Amino acid sequence: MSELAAHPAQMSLLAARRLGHPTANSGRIFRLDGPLDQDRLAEAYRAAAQEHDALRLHLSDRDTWQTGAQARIDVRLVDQRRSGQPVEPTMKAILDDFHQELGRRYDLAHGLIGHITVHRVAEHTWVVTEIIDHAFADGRSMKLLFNTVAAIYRGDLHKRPGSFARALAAQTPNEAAGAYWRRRYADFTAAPQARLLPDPEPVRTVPRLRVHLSPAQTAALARAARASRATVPAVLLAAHAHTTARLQGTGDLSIHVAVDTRTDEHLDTVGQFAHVLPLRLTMPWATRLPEYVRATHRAILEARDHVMVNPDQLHAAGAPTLAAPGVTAFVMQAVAPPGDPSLPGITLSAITADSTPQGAALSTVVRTLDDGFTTVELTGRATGPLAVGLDRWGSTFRQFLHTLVEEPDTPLCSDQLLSPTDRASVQALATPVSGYTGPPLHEAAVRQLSQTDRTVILDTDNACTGPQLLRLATTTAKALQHAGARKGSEVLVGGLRLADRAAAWLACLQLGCTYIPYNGDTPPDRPAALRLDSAGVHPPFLPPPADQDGLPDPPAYVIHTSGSTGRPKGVAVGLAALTNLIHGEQDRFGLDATSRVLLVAPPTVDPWICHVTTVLVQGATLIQGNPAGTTTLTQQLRHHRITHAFLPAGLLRSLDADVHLPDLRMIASAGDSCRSTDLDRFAPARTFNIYGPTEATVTATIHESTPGAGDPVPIGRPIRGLAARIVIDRAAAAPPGTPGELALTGIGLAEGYLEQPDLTADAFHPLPDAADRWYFTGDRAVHTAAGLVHLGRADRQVKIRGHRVELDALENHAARTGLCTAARALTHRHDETVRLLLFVEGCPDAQQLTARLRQMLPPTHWPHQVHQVDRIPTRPTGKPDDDALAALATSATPSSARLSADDTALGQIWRELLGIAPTPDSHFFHDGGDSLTVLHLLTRLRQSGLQLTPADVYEAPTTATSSTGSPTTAPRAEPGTRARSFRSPLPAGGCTI
Amino acid sequence: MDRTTDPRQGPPADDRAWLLEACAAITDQPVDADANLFEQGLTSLGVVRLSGAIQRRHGLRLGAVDLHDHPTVTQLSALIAERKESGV
Repeated sequence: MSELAAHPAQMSLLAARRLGHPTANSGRIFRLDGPLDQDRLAEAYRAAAQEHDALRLHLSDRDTWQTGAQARIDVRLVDQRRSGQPVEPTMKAILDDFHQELGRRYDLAHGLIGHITVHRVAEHTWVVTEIIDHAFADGRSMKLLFNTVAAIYRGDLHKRPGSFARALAAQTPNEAAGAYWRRRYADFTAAPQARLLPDPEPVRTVPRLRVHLSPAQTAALARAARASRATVPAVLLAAHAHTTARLQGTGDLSIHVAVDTRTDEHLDTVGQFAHVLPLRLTMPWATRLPEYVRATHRAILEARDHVMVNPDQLHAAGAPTLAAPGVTAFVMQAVAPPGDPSLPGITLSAITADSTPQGAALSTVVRTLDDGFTTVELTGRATGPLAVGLDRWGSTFRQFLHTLVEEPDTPLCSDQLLSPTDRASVQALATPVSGYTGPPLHEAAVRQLSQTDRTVILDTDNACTGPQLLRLATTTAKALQHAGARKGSEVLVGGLRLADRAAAWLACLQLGCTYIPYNGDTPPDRPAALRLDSAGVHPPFLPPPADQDGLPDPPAYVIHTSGSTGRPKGVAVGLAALTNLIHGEQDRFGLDATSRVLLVAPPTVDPWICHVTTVLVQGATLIQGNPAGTTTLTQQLRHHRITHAFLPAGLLRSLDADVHLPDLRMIASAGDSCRSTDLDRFAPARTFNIYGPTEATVTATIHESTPGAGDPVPIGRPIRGLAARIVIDRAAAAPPGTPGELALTGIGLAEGYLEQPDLTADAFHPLPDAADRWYFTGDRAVHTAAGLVHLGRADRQVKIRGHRVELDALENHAARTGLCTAARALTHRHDETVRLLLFVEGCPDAQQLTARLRQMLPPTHWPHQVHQVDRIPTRPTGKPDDDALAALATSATPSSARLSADDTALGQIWRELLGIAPTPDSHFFHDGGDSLTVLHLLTRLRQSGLQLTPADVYEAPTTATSSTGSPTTAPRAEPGTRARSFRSPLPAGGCTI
Repeated sequence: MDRTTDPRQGPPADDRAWLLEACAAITDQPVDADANLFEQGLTSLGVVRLSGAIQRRHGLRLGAVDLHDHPTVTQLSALIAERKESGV
């Protein structure tokens, strides 16, 4: 017979096997009881195997088949009876062997491709094990084969089975398939895989979890499937997808699903028809469960209409491979032994075997058994991030099925779909504790200030007691009133010294005006506002605004923050939010009348409002600090006997650890990149990490750290009156341990952005499943047992070669190495190639830093270049100036650079396949190569006259591998090819630095 | 189903009745022409069988998604008639 092209289902399998990925054989194990004629059974197996031409195939070069004369199956009888002994140990030994055999490698070209063994374990009891290489038979084939066996055993006339060769010959290349899969995978980004938290305990064995559904539960599931107008596999896949989405924290997934590609005319044909296809599913969070199940069902059917697709077409479409990080697999098997027709007088019962790992990060194998049970078996890669939480996975999976059956109207984003334990944690975090109450802020401040003769404001050049400040405030209030200020008027305040600003703020509180601080000479453009600066109030008289009675309370203050678009956003905060914050400062930080509080916050940011107001309300003392002064900030802390200091993380780090600060009671770090070692130095003072966007009124969450607790330092829990959620796609709750966007709710939320209703509606809105108003921070965080952990800005997630990369994660890890004092990561596009650049300040050894980062981070997060700089340039706002850095990148030579080009054949192919020019040290897999790119690489190298095997690439994945290959000819490979032989110091797939 | 192996045999008036019968045979239960077939026990294997049966009778290759989007016997007969009409 002529050569037959392999089935696409076989091509994927062959490609995976060539790359050394674990692939399982097809196998079944069952028990027979009764008066069996074992010789007759063995003969029937031999005859049946001969009838199915798939079992006679031989693989030749180039993935084609030739049909041979003999079935390549060994059938044998083994007598394992032990008189007087129980059969259980024997059966156990057979099952263990069977598990071993499932992983056995057969030679596809020669010799046997399957073993069928009839074990006699007792007088009237046999155990049959069937193992056939997966390239020759899928799960359904095993069942079909046994149908033929049973018919032959019984002596029935049976229909001649279908021919696999005919099915192969009939397959037509599907031209439209490539286009379909490209469309399906447009803009797909693989889930983030950065190890953002300390590694979990490594698992030594294959993690495995079985969920059993009773016959009643299985029947209820079938009813729920029908009610959803879908099939049972669609329901189970929907449960798998939803669970993956929640635990990976992404609503956009790629799941490998085994799809039977048989058409009607080949339904009874033995062969490998099970194509494991990538299926992209997007979670429609707001829809109800049956509708979601139906959408999933449609996605499977649609994939089924485009199954005739080759691995390289899928690769070109951008679909991730099974081995790609975060990809999970779903396999549905009906392993029920054929009950009818069967062997006369013989009882056949299935034995449940372990499913073999599918090579994915996590696989769900669903098996329906003839006793009515359904078994869901989860297996993971030993090191996979999902695998360590299999219990959580299993209970979330179960919860989906339970909810679909019991409360089908539940929307997909509901907390109801989390496991009960996770749901309890999520809801505890999401429910605000009652807020702080107290007298109105102005009233409280007046009472304290009039009673104290202490200095309440100590500026660099003047001091002000309580009564003095009160007099200033009264004067200011009168001037404002004289100019027409009343409740709801906006007052722009700029160019004043601290005491006058504090007085202006107090005056605004008294009059119910909205306080809007500004810096420099350019106040925000507010035509209807009064302006207050060192020259007094302007305009001298403001016509009164339209009658404000009946309108909601005006904002207490407006703080302008830099918008990502460049236009500043005025965050309007109400009095209720501020009151809750201020009255909690004593409870949180022990801030009272005896406190001496350091002020470093500029007057235009909201911590200024917080510290000034708290000091006035408590009658404490506020001391203006000056980080750029003639004495160091540490000396100022000591000199002024500061008891409470709130500092940005960078400033806190710069404090001198050797200076003894006996008066310091507490010190807090605010903003990104807080390190535990920075805080630990201040013991026995209490140390805090504070998180709070302006939109949630200065402080949203706090964490009190304990020395030695290590990194990352959590941002803790919401303050009273506020609550938090970690959300996926601004819709569904991420369970503890899963990263997502941090959302906040409660009394502390700002009213919105001044006159920017679209921005306000975008950032402040209810969740699909909850009526409360939430603020979506744009910060990524994860809920851990120690509290919330901040992971970085959502808008600093970038896509590099199809993988999501978190720039903040890279920076945080760089800072944690202790090998640099500051780091800034950014992407740089050059010739369609996106590169990841890292700029480091205070880093004497970039090589060492690079090496450490490679240990800490997955390859997707390894910088292509590391630049050492004296100082990371900043913008006037204090934020890093990425434009200036990018300019540095193009002019300077990086400390650890790639070559810009490689003149070898390998270099050209490398660049073509991976989009990156290699250096001698470039690592194929770290540059973005994957199992399928390896195949392309080998093909291209063969065309250039280099013969390499995939194993060569896996063992020596760096550039100079090419010279260790066997050049059959040497076309222009010599000049640039490095003679150095690379040996990877780590096992295949490991890192080479 | 056996009598339908020869494509284009049945007169068009019988098409709906034929489809009803074919679906009943595949799902192994009586079928309501206006109820969703997936509510009436149509499985993934059934989808393959049904599209095979339709191809044999009508010479028309329907995708699995077509069955999903036209999930009742009535809708499916209309789709078949429409596709035959347009010669797709």
